[in-house]
Amino acid sequence: MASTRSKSPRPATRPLRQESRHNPPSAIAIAALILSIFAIVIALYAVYSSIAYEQLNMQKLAASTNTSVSAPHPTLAGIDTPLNNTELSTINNASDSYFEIAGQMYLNGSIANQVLPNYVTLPNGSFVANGKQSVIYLGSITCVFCGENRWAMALALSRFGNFSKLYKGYSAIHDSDVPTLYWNASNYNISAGMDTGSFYSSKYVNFIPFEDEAPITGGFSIQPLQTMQGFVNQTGNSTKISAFNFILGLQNNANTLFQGTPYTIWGNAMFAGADAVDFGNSTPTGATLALSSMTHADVLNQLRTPNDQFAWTEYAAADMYIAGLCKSLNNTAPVCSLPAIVMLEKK
Amino acid sequence: MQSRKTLRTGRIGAFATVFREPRYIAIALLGAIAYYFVYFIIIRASNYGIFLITVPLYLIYAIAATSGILLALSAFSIAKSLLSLKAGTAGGIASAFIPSVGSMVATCACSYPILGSFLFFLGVNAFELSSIVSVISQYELEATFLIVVVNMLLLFYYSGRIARAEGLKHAGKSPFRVKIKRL
Repeated sequence: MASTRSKSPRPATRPLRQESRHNPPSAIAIAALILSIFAIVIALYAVYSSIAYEQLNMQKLAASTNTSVSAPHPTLAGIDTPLNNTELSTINNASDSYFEIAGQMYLNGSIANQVLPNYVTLPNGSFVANGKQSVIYLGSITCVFCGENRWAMALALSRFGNFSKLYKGYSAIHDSDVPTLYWNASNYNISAGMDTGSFYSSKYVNFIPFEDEAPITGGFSIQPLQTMQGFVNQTGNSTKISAFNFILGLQNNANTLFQGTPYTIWGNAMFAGADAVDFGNSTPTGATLALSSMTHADVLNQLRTPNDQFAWTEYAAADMYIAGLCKSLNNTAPVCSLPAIVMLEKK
Repeated sequence: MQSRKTLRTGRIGAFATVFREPRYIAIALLGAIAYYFVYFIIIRASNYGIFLITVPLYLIYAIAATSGILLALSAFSIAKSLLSLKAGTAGGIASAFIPSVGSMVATCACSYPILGSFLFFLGVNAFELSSIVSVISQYELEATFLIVVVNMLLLFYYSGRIARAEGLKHAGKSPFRVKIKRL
């Protein structure tokens, strides 16, 4: 039976009576949008300016590496230039009295900058090669803290041996571009590499540096540990390979983990990071570092005749490294008998 | 008789709706300031007390500003129950999480104790950490810029959801209404 029921007409869907009133956005809403757009513009400008700055730095680098052209700091003037005899003598022949005075200043709280004597005694002993204790350094030429800390390291090592050569260097341009020392003439414009050389000799210690290399015109950059190991293995030098493997072996211990550069081992004492923050006569409050405005000559002049907080901090930082190493040497080196060093060892 | 008015809200209208109330302007401003201080504190803690940044400062400002605005949008959506509580909360969490991530990226300098501790906590070992840091250090600027873009996309997304929810509300419909087919 067919349905005779007819469908009731669908009630007309009453359209919504919409009275639209277009409310223009308020000034505040527009300001909020403008702020957001501004943020995008700034970000785009930042990327553009970084690219442009990079290109400009490459031009400056090309100019500054021309030995006949003297480019002013803060470009890379004189990079990889060896220190002359006078400059080298500032490091090698620094007076023991400076180390003593700086050590006493640290002990009586007269050092304005941060000096960080925080080291860990290696649980399984030190790295010994050729019958000598070792100083092992893992850093990067692009690292600003490595840059400021190499001065103190060089001073400390000078108490146990002698540098026949040191080189003028800089930390990365985008990482404050501070003047520093290189242990060896560095490949500062290769994409990635590792420098393991130095011109240091000592009857007390081996100095084994591992310096990660990256373009100095960029920012801070570092290779993974495994990549560094590959570079070290390529040297074919058994002492260097063993020393780097020693570092890798320490990564199983939470107290000796590698968490940035510089990473240094002084005998049985491992310093995870710089042992001082020395960028001028006081700790910087902002991103501007006084050291980045100094030249190598400025730094060496201050180290030659220390009379400001910057220089005394460098000597105090060197004292920390010396104290850490002296323990491993059973105080056989003459510098270990300095009263300040003896007191620092006890701390 | 006053007819119901429908606020034709687009994304601009969503911002207008949110920032018409001074408290949300205050939330945005205070949030931006707070997020900037997150950066400041983390960067200083990672660099021996020095505010040493390796990315342009205005990128950090941009992240703080956009995160503050995102926080205001999230607070608005939660307060007005326009979206589900979950969605609104997610926006608030994102606004806090993104500056924290950004600060880890921006502070990826020679020494990275905070980033290292955080990743060690997640179970990353020293070798994996060095690989992560290597990548971050190479693409620090791009990563920070990307964080700004992510924030902008989140602002776009949440403003759109607020706009749609506001539009439905003023049309007399529940923002959670499911379409029902009329037979």
